[in-house]
Amino acid sequence: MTLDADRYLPSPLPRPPEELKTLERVWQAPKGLRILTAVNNNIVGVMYIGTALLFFVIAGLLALAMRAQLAVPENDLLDHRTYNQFFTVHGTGMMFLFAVPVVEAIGVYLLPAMLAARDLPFPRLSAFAFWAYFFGGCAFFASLIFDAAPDGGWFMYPPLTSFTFSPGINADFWLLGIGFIEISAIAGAIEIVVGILRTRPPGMSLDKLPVYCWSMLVMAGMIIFAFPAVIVATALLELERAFHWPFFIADLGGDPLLWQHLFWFFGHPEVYIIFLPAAGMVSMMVPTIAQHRLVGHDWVVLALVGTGFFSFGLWVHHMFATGIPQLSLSFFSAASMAVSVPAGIQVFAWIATLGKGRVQWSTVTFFILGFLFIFVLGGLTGVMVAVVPFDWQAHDSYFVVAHLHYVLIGGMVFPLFAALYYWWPTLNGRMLSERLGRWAFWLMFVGFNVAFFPMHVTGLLGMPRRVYTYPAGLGWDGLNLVSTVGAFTLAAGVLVVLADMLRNALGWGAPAPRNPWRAGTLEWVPNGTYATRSIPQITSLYPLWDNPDLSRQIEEGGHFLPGAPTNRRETIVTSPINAEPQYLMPMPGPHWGHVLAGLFTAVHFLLLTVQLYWLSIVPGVLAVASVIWWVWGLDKGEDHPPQDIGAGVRVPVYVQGPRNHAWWATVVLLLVDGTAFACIVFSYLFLWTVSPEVWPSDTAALPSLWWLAAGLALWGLAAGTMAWASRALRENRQRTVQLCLLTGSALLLAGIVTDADAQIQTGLKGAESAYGAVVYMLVAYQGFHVAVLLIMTGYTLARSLLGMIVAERRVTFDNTMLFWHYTCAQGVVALLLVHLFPRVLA
Amino acid sequence: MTEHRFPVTFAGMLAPFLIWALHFTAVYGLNGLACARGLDALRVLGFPFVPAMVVGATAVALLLTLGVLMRALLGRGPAAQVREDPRRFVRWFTAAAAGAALVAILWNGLPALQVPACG
Repeated sequence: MTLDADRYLPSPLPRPPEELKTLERVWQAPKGLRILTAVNNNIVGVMYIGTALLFFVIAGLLALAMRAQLAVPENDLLDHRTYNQFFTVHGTGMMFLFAVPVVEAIGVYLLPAMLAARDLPFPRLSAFAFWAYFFGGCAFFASLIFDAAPDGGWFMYPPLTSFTFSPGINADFWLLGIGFIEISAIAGAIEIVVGILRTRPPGMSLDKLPVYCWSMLVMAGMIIFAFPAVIVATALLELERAFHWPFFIADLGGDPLLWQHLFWFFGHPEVYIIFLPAAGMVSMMVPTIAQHRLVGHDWVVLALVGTGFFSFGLWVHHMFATGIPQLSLSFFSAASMAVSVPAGIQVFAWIATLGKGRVQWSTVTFFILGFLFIFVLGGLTGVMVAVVPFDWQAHDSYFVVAHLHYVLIGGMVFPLFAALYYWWPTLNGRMLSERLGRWAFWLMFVGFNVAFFPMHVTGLLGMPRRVYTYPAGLGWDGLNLVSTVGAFTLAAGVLVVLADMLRNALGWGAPAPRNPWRAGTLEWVPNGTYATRSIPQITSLYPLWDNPDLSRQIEEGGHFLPGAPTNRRETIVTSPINAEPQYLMPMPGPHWGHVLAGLFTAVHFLLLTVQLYWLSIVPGVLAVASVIWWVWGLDKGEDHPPQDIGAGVRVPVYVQGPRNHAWWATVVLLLVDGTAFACIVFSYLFLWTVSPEVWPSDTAALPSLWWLAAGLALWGLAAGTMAWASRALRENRQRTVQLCLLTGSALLLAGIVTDADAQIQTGLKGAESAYGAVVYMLVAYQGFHVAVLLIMTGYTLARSLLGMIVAERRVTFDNTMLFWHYTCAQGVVALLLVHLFPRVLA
Repeated sequence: MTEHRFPVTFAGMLAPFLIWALHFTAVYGLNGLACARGLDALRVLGFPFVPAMVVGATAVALLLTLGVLMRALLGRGPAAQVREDPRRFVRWFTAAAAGAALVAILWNGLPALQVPACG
């Protein structure tokens, strides 16, 4: 029966033996030191997860030092300076260097397996994101050794963190270091969006997309729209520190609340950026441990997407005590309560699934139940602090410390540890120890609650957060001692897990059976460095449950793309909604370029931090050169005829325009870019709202309208020149293309010089008022785009001169064109804003 | 279904939440500006300025979302642009998102009737 069915699979079985050998050869991981150049997701993902766990441990050790300091009143274990650095690096490390990277890292590791793709679509970008994160994170933590660590708290409020009150380089470590690491997070998000939407297996239409993939899609979408706000905020504060541009100085028309708006516009969604992937993992594990399909699957998807949106309406609930108008607070209070509804939907779906199934009791189950208990408590205190009058009482007290740890450790760390125990066998075919796992769980669960539950009371008794010591006799002594005991118990639990992982890595774990938890999704199909042997046709949400023979069929190569027909790394790209095969995407292999790009970028930012500005140019140039080296060999054109991928389906190996995955990545990048620009425009309008007196009241103080006309003409001409080049390329008129690129570059340069000169001629100074600062910020942002475009254009021109860009091979050109048109459009909007808005007011 | 339509289909599925976001931005921005410029004492057709504007914006947002809901229930909107397999899901998702957004928009607009604008 099975043998008969095998003949009707997309790739009839048995397969020729050389097919597997070719597959293994092209996907082979590099050996020795060259392992650093690996791009396979199952290698980069593991390094990424390992680094995130290392940073988790370092940040956790800082927490233990703080708890030791607070164990008794008037303790002198840590002085206040060191304590300030510790809580800042602890919070920053946990949020920016552990929580977000680890959820992205797990995505890098798991998503291709869950989608039966050979890898994510831009493996070198993933690897670059990892190396940038690794080098940047190490430098950030190393700042502690040199007493140069930031000490303004993880949300770095000015004016405390501006040049007056934080004159050293400590704050710069945060601003430049974190801003740089966010670039790595955005690179990961682009990879995840394109990976989930375009590299699904045939037949996995949106309705059959696993919940975890939905959660990662929503998370990546949130990164795209949230992270630019913090990047802009850090840029503004760094400019204020370096050049005294007074974005946050009230005397000169700035406002410290601008920082809070930008930071929390990122900071609150950040909580859900961390939680939603964890919830997605829980939605994958719960059906398996209950051996029952997720109850209310569609509702859970709706809840994930709804949370993604609603979480952008919560940021002001971190600012309830800042004097914002009462009705404005109410809008955010209402949204803060509304967001608990989708969280509740997910909790009920998990409970219903567990209730309807037959639960397998294991460490995974314990961690999930622990997560439910702790997260629900954290959610309830979240609703409490969403009530404005209550928040006024609890604000900046230990109650908030308790709440945020219940949400973050409950909502993310417990699911993460459940995931470690659950998915570990996919890593090395061995199970983590059930006995050690249960010890770890109980130590962590008891330790966590003993540490953090008393903090609710400590906070209500009036203990403010971030104090390095306290006097005896305020009723805080015993509670703090209990919290410290709990913290060390929690740490002991983490230590047990680390020991279990080490023991397992050394080969002492029990061998895992095939699909040890009897799961229904694709990541449990046996795989190698090439991921799954073949890519299946998907017909349901739990393909391994609905077709028990599917795993064998895939493993023997009976489905799509059982080999490497073009003798290189490749995967199938499918349409975004119906997942129909569209083309075979060639994928890059190991390379030093992305490793060096990550290293040099980190060194560039490090030198900027220590104010060696001129020297920083050297690694900056080397970083750009490394990127060019890494991408030069890509975009090969249609170098093979269409290939048969199975079931008689023949697909091309190269497509252009909006179907191409690189086009998608560029569009996603432009969404990031547009959001950052919108944040600067918001800053302009916000500063005008709070300080209209520094805006010109007389049009004589503004550049003449001729400057506006000249600027508009130049941006328009630049865009037109590129459109002409595009048309010329369609007809393969190479000389015209090259001439247009050169002329267009000159127009871009003329455009930015005109924009800047228009303001300089009026005598406007960036350091004199918030108006000057924000106007020059708009000009500088446009200038940055022109600089990037000049590099991209030079690259495109070089390829054109070498005959590597023709009508049939124009993906590189198209990417440059997309960025070019965006820049011109952004230039027009910025010009209209800075020239016309003050005139309308005047 | 071509990829050219994907942004349209996807935006159609998310339209209710996008309307919620626009409504939220509008009412928050309006109130912030009104308080900063002392416009809260203004009256429009005898009604206080800020609550009137918020109620107006909320009514428009609710009507738009209701439109999305009706189209989804009638099988039009993004569901009409996709093939059979995910059609049920796309239709359900759009309608359910519209239902959720209706409640969320109403919930967010209600404080304008109860809380002073700039108190």
